[in-house]
Order: sequence, then structure tokens, then C-alpha cells
Amino acid sequence: MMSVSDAALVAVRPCLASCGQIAPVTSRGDWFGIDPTFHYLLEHSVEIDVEHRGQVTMRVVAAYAPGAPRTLQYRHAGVSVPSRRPVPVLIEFPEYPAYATYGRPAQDYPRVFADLGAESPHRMDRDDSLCLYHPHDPSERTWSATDGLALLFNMVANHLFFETHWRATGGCGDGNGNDEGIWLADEAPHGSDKVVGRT
Amino acid sequence: MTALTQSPEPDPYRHPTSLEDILEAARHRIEVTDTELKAARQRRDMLSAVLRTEFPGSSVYVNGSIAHGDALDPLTDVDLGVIVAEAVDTHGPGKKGCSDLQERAANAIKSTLRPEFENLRVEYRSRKRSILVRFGDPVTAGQDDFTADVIIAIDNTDADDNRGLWIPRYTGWDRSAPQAHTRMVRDANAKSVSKYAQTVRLLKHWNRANSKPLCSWNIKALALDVLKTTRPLVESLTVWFDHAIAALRKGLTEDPAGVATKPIGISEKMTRTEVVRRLEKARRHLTDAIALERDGYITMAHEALAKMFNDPEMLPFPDADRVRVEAATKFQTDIKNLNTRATKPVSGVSSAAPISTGVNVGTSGRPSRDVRSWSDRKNQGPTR
Repeated sequence: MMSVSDAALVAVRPCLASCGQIAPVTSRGDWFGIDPTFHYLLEHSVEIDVEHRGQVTMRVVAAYAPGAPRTLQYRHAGVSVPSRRPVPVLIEFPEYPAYATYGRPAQDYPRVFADLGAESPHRMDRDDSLCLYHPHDPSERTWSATDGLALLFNMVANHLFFETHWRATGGCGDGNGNDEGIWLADEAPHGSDKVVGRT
Repeated sequence: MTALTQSPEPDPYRHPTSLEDILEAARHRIEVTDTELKAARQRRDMLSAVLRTEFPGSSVYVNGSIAHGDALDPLTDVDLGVIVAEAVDTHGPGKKGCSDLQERAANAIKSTLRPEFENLRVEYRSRKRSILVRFGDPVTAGQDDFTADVIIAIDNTDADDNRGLWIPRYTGWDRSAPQAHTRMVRDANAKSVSKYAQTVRLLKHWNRANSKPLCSWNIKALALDVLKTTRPLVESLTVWFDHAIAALRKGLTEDPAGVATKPIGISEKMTRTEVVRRLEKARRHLTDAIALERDGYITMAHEALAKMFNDPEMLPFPDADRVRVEAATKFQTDIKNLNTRATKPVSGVSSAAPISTGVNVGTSGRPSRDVRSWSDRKNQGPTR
């Protein structure tokens, strides 16, 4: 079960990190990762969802160094993906994201990891995390923290099924754009330069 | 002359036509065989004879899965009790405890049955209720052993309320009504034309494969409330889960005979909330399966049922490729249907954005989003 106790024990640190970004803070000046209201908004949907309740554990990790940036992690024991056994998922909300968030608040653009190393056309280049949605799409096609974790886990399950089907129907094909697998969802053009403005 | 070819038996797991077919096949896989039953009953009769000889004038009753008609394969134990006639005035609450009677019974069982079962062992000290007889000889091939739970009982002669018996609780006594329980179960079996026992057997197996949140008797006691008519197994299971969830949310299950002073206990490792959570999860799989079958996705329905039972030996998963193809078809159909409807925010959701604006690849009804998959890579190629 999730608990905010370990998060609450972590002292608030200066909003500076090696990446030079300013840590996203709440109205009280705390990092959102240790804010009880944020946790409630994020976790409540999991607590009331039969499929996810009891499957998710939360912790805040930090290096043993003064001012070391923290990361809020959620681990799902296994989301349900058709044709597969439950797939474990890790979601990370870093205090200072070392990746581009494309103007989105950090709490609305976490890193999501599952099936690491599996072939996929929709993963982040740097860390193999899942590219679930286009960051500049409208709210009904993206995810925000206020939507809650249950929706995010369902979106992850969808994405993992799209990947599974894509690999089974050809994957990357012959490498020259022929006989590639079928991606069931809509696809946005790749590349960070493409996300300046709506595509 | 044309060679006769025998058409293969239809395999409901490979080519299922309905959830009911799948459940019937699963039920048969866990049904105890006649050979096992015969061997178990023989041993029960041997114990019964020993107890009658040791306690002259006493009566023996049977209960548990064999008496109730819901034994599972592999068959590993049998239950019986002896109502010790000579102890009616000397033992019971406020009188002597059960230890001396248990010791006599244990010694009699050992001395009489050891010649036939050389590895037989009998335990009764520090046990809550029963004398445990380990035969050291299984009735089902591949099992470690076969055991018997023997209860030493005293007739209840209370002038105000003489229902039930007194049975051991460590060195003291508890009230219980095992004979009434067996009568109630047999009555439910008769009224439901055995659907009660068939459903209970499936539920007991689900319970075994899912950390045993409930004891078998709790499953049966809850079933006594709702499984007294004949109906398909799918429907019986749904009715039972609905009832069990509602009942256990309110509290523990009371003795259906109204005799035991304490309600039926749940797993010591779980809270009632946790037990309800497990039941709700199983019901979710079951209702998913029913919805998928209704919509024509029988392979996905099969997978949902296999997830619920969580035991591929009893209910194997369908072929993963078949599930994938069916799920892809379903997703594309659902997206088409979604696109033909006006997208409206879900009413009653306070979030600024509508929670569900997409299709879930599994069962319909879960919130999801109709996303555009993306990547920050400059090229369009996949990661390897």
C-alpha cells in the first residue's frame, strides 16, 4: 500500500540541482513529491480502482548527499495487457527532470518504464521510457497528475499492447520502411523539434 | 473400404464456444475421481469403526467436502466426528475438557490402523479442534499424504437450547452444528440439481489458487444464501461473488445454522478489507469475461477467466496470438465506434479534463485516452 510517511520525512531542499532546472514547487513552496495534497490527487484513483488497488507501491528515493535531488517512484506489480502476463511498470517523477518536459509541468510529464529494451517505435531516445502521448496535444489526448495514476496505468497498458501487436505484426520490418508492424493508435511525427506548437 | 476416422474431442480450451463450456471443462479437471472417493470413504469407514469400538454407544457423523459433495482433486483429507455417548455428563463446558477423550481416540486409531498403515501418525496435542490422522499413504498419486480430521464431540443437553454439539477448542469447548451444516448443504445440492456443489468446487479452487482468503466452510455458508436454484455456472459464480462481497463488507459470516457463537473466521493473514479486495478483483475478471463474451470476443473472455482462476493447470490460458489478434480487432472496432459518437466529458467528474476520452485495449469501461504515440527521436525508426 502507498504511504506518504517516507516522503514526509525528507527535508525540503534548495531548488537547485545539477541540471540547473528549478524544482517544481507547490503553493507552499515544497516540492510536489512530498506534498500530501498532490499525493492524494495522484493516488486516490488507484485506491478506489479494483484493478490497481494493492498493486502499487510508492517511495521517494534520493542519493545520500546533501541537496541530492529526489525522485518520487510508483511501482505497479503488473498491469493487465491482453495476450500477456501482468507487466511490471515503474513511474518516476524527478524533483529536477533531467529530460525535456516541453513546457509541461514536471508533475504532468513523468517518466514511465516497462519492458525495458523491447523493440518499439515509441520510446524516448535517452532512457527507453515509453512515449505515451504527444506533449503538446490537448488535455483529452494527454495525461496530467490531476487525472490520477489509474488512468496513467491504463494508458501504459494500452501502449504496451500497441507495442506487443506492433512487434508481432512485423516490428521494424526490413529496416528500410517495408513490412513494418502495425501500430494501432494514432502516431505523431517524431523529434523534439516537431513539438514546438501543435502538430 | 473407407477407413474410419474418429473425430477428435472438441477442446473447449483451444476452441471455446462459450464461458460455460470453459467452466464445465475446468470443473471436470478438478473433480475428484471415483477411485479417490472410494479410497477416502474406505479410510473414513475404518476410522468410524475404530471410534465406535472405543466409545461404545456413540454415533459418528460425517462432514467436510466428501460429505458435502464438493471434494477437489487432488483429494487430500476427509472429515468426521464422534459424539461420545459416555461423556455427556462428565465432559463439556464447566466440566472436563476434551484431552482425555482425544488421547483415547488417538491411541485407539494408532493401535488399530498401524498394521495396515505402517507410517500412520496421529496428532492431537495443542491442536485447536481436531485429531489429525496422517495415513502416510496418499489416495491420489503424486500427493504427499492423505489425512483425516477427527472431531471428538459431546451432545448439547442444555435444557434451554440443545441445538448442535460441543466440539473442542484447544482444551475447552465451542458450540457447533456440523450435522445441521451437512443437512443444509445436501438440501441446497438437491434444490439446485448439484449446481451448488459444482459452483462451490470452482470457488474453492479459486480460493486455493489465490492465497486462500476464505476457508471452505465460509464459501459454502455464503453459497447457502444464494445458490439454491439451478442456473449456469457463470451466473452462479457472479451471484456468489456479488453476495460474498456485499456480505463481507458488512461483517464476518455468521453460522448458517445459527448455533456457533462466533462468526466464521477469514484468513489470519488478511484483514476483511483485503479479503473483500480480492473478491472484488476476481469479480472484475469475471464481469470482464462476461462482457467480452457478450460482445463476441470469446478468446479474450477466456483469458479474463483464466486470469481470475490463476491456475493454468485447471484453466489454461488461450493462445496468446489469438488473444492479441482479437484484442487488436476489438480496439479498432471500439475506436471506430468512439469516433462516430460525439466526444463528451464524463458527467460527474470534477476534473478540468474529461477522464475518459479513449478506448481501453482490454475490457471497455475503464478510463483511457485516445493518444497520439510519439518519440523524441529525430528519425522515425524503432529502438532496438
